[in-house]
Amino acid sequence: MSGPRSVLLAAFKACLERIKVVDGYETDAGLVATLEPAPVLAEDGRAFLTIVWERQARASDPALLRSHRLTTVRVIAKLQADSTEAQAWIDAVATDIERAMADQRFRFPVGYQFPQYQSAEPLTGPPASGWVGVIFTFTSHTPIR
Amino acid sequence: MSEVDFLRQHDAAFFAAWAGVTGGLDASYSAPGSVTPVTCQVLVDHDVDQFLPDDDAAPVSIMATKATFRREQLEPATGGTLVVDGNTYRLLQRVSGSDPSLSVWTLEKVAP
Repeated sequence: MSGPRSVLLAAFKACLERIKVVDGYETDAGLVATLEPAPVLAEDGRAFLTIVWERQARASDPALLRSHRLTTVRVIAKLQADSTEAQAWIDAVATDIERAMADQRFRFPVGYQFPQYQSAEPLTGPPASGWVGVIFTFTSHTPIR
Repeated sequence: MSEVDFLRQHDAAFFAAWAGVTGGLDASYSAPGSVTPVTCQVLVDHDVDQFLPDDDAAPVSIMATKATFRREQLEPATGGTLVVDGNTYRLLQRVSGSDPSLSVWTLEKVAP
């Protein structure tokens, strides 16, 4: 698979799979970084993150109209957290993703714009769910072909 | 007899009968901040729920546990601790199913 979306997502994965406690991050969300999201059993207990593209649109930069698409990518991380420290873990994993995506221009091939941060949102369920997460949205101009 | 009295009597009879069928409903409850547990009878329901706040393709299947207390025995409180079947839970939230006779709570499992 070498379409431009796959190339972009693979570069994201290379950035984000560095998120490990042993390497100084606050969570281990990068240990299970996947481009193929699938249902998970809570008893596995492992943090994970998934990277998927959400949509593509006309390039927003006039100079790139004929050569590039504006690709929107979502990074979703989920981890176990009991109700007394849910917000702390949301902050921890959000901090990790920001850090892992900073200064990584070299991982994105020529012609691929380094992802631009757009937004982030916490993910919370009912108090007893025992899991929390975050969802980040990035955009990048990527080659049409 | 008032309707509430009827509910209480009905639930007391049901708990007693169900305890006989199942071999006992005994659990140990500690109020928040208390170190002296009291024995009570609870019904425990296990179910599965999906942690899927954003409708994405990676839902987390979680075990959702609820406990039903008889309010005549004790009035549970948020943050109370329940030990039942060797598992320790924290009381998180009172939920529907509660009435003047019963108090139903979602539980969060904690390390013993």
